[in-house]
Amino acid sequence: MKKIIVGVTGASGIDYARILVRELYRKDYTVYLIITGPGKIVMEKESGLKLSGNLEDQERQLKNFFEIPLKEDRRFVLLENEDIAASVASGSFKVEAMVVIPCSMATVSSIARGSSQDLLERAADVVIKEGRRLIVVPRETPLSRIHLENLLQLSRVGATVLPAMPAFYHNPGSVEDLVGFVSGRVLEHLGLEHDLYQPWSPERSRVDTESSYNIGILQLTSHLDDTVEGFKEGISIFKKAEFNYDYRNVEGNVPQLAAEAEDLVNRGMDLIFACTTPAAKFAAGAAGGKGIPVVFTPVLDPVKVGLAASWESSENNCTGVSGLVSSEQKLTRFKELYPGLRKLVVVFEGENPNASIELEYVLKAAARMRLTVQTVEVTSIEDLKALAKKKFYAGTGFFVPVSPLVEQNITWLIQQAREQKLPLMAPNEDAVKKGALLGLVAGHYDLGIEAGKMAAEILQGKDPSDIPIGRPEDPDLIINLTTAMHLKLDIPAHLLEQASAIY
Amino acid sequence: MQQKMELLAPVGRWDVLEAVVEAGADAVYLGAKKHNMRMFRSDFNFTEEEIAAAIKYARPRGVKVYITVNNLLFDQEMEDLKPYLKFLGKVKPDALIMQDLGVITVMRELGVTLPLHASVMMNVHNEPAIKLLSEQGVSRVILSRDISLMEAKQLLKNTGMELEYFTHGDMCLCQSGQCYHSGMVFGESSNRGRCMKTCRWAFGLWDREQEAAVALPRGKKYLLAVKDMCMLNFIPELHDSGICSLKIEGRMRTADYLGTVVGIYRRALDRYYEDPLGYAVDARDFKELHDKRVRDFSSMYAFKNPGSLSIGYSGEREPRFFSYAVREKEITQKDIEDQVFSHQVEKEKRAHNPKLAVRVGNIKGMVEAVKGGADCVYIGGESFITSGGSWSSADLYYAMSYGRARGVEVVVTTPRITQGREMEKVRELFFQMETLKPSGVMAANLGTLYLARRLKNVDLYGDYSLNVINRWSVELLKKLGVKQLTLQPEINFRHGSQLMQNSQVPFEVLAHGPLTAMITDHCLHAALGEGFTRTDVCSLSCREKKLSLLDEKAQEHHVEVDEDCRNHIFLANELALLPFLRDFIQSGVASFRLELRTYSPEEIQPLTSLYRKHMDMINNDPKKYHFDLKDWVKLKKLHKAAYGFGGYLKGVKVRTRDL
Repeated sequence: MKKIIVGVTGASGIDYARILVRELYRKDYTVYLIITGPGKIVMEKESGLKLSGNLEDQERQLKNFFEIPLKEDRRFVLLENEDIAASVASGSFKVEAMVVIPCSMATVSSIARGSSQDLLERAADVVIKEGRRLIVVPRETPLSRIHLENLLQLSRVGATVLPAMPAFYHNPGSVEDLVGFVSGRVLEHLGLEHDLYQPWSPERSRVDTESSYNIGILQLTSHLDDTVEGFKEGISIFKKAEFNYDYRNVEGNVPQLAAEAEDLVNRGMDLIFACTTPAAKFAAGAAGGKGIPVVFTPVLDPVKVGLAASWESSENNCTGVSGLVSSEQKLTRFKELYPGLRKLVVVFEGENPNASIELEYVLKAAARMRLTVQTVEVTSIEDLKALAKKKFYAGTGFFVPVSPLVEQNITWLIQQAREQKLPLMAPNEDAVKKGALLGLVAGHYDLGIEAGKMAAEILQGKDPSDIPIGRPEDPDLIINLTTAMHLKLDIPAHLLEQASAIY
Repeated sequence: MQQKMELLAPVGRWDVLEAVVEAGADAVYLGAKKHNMRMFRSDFNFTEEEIAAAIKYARPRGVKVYITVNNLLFDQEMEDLKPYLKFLGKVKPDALIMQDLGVITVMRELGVTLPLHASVMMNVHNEPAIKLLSEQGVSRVILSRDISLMEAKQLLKNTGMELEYFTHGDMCLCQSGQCYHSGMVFGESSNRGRCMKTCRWAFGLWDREQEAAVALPRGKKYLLAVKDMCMLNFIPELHDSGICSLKIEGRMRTADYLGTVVGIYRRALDRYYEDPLGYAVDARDFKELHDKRVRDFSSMYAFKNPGSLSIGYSGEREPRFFSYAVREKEITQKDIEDQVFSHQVEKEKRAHNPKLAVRVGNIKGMVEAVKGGADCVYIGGESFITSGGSWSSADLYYAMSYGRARGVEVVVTTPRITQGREMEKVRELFFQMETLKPSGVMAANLGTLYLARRLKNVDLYGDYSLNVINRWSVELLKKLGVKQLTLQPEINFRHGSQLMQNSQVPFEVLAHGPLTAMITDHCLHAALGEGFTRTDVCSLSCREKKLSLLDEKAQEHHVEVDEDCRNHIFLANELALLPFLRDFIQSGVASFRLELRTYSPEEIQPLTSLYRKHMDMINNDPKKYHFDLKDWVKLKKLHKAAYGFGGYLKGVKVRTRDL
């Protein structure tokens, strides 16, 4: 186990110490920390951390500060500066190095003169006499001749003088970046790798264009942010690359998508991920001329809405994953769970393109399965309320395709199904949780992953038109048991085994 | 007007006997040098001659003498108990206070009849339990310490049983007779009077989701250290509750202290009965009692769940720390190579094809357990909030039909504690058994056991919380219709295997999963997050946060909250017997239970199949069987936790000097 002493004095810049200790801990060092009295005052001023209580309490406070788990009881040790008899005051206690960060000019002077008045100074003295590595990080500016001579003295005895002088070539975007540079330099001098900043190299710009991509995300509503999480997961199979995301969310305001899409294109995105059909349309429109690839999901039928020429190839710069679960699969599941199903009452939102797309598929599947179908078009809540007054015969099942209006008011339908003891198949998990009998839905996260993988392929050189439109491979079966019981259903064992969620 | 309440004082030595009788106790309780809970010091407790003398001394003075035979006893100790019981039959104390059901059987065997009081360690907290005990000849029940006076009144009304109540002194955080922490960690059982008081340890609070400490005010670190009970200010309320006897705690205390306490309660009772109308607490007496206090006072659960008000967070009034946090022993590769249990099995008595049972927290978990090869699944209460928190009728119904379809036994569990309306929930559950048709029902306390006996075509299982450690209590439970029992988790495996081999009822052992050290009505979420309890309308922070206690050795004790808001505090190490299955099978285990309520469905299937695989291999050829370390690595990867032995390796044993 590698041991290191970190001294903190009353020079300004407690954050240098914060990042250094955090990183040392993460790199499996055992850190022995000494803070001088002035160091504690500066710590309180700069970070608001007022050390109080006994040593144990202080250690807890500091663990929080350095992002060290509180249960850590070996690799972080706080020493009292007055405790001149502590282990580190002896040369026989082997440490790899000592860093004084930030280091005041008073401490530089004491170390340079070998005065050893307290534990920190003594420890530094021991490190020097044992020929071990000592790094001091002074911050003072300007420097007097006395300061310079003391620093020179330290340098002569082998200490590294590493002033807190941040550089700017790594394009720091924040104070954290500036601080990270200095702490990173200390780590380098200890022979440790880190990712606190990108080291300067002549090839830097070239390497960057190869490995860093700007990805625009065009989102219609936060409800679908699972897809974005999935997308990021999926794209991460492209290992050597780094992605900078530009996330735009219009929270349901469709017209605003146009401006956001335009802006993303103008900012030179390498690829746009568009979430939902309207987002995909605007993104495709804006990106088309510039040849920026667009990956979308969930879009029910990209062919019908004109995003792609065919399911096999878009023949343009778009591709993506459809959210449409096959109607055959859906109805098969419905019948498995509710074998008495003879007639389907399809409740859908009129004037919604998605609803009519799915409706078409459902009608075909129902015909093949010899189910009679009655369609109920809903354009307002009143239509749903009117429906509630109608009586349906046994053997009837309600089916809701993707239909935002119906989905938002699904409790009406759940209530009606419940009262008439009829089953309801819903297009989302939440509706099943609320009381619909079942759903077979594409998980948004999974759709996002598929889309992300496509994006990775495109960035690695594949043409979007060569990537066929994806479909939900393994949609999630969701069952509500309380509803099943209410309908006095038997549930075949295999359905319980295959269900991804049971309510 | 109803009878006057009895003032019942503890006696550890002769001088105390004289002092408390002098101070006005109506009855005393004392124990012998053996078979008894408070045996920390050799100069305490009574020889047989002294017991006889104590009865002779007390009786003419109108003072009753109750003898504590209140330990859980191993077979060897039971044998040793017989002459002593015969002796007691001769000297005829006014009653025996007992904890172990086996004592009832032994007394019948010996033809000794004496009034029996059920110890607080029997954790009696509901009406059917009282009925069961009454049918077994128990004439008085010392109520569990978590019962309120209101509940006591109800219990009296419905059963007519004499009820005794702890009124003054030391208390436990854990439900009475249900604390296994000390036993599992130190081999010193709380349930055998040797508690090392782990609840008096200093703890930090840890947020498992955030992986960060929860900041507590400075000095607030004795998070489980309950205060002392004091009911002096509530004599009328006690009287109204119908409780017949006020018990003062402290058989290890001095004559001076107990004389004072008894005297103060005596004066209060006398004044109250003389003039109930004009009665008020005597402030000077209270002050004297308060000045002599050990810890700060609380009325504990007498009126309501006291929450944070019942805890002495600073620890400054703790009289003595019996133990400090110790590092729990982890299973090492060497332990596996050495097969540490192989020397513990004295004779081999292999059960035919032992079962693999899995306890799960939700229906998805159940499906996964069945896929993994479980023979039996336990479903139902008590379930933890983190794994769904409840089983609906529909869940139970479809779980049953699924089990039948897959040819797996499905046993419905009931919570360890079923107080008040929780018992109503059990009644409702049992009412639905007609439609559910489970293979069995697991009773975890005497009350649920009593009710479950009435169910038809359902096997009755007894959980470990019944604290069965000798064949006499097995015999009694068998008579009550129990088909399978569970080994109590704190006893040493050597004793466990002896018990199983002598038992007429097959035993299950806990084989895998987190082990509950304590179960308590004190909610840490409510107490520490908000400073009160659920009856003050907490904000349900248990639904968002997962808390653990961090002991001073930085070990993490998970805390789970169940559907009745009880907190379960676990050992830091989970149990894993996978590498040691052969020795357990050879010693006669009839069933292995994986406790996977806290596991995710994704973990359950592979874990169950690991156990399945090894059990099958052993069954096929125990001689050739060899445990492959690769599977240990696999198990540890599957579910990341520190794994230990529970009480099997270092747990509770008979000490020869106790015999």
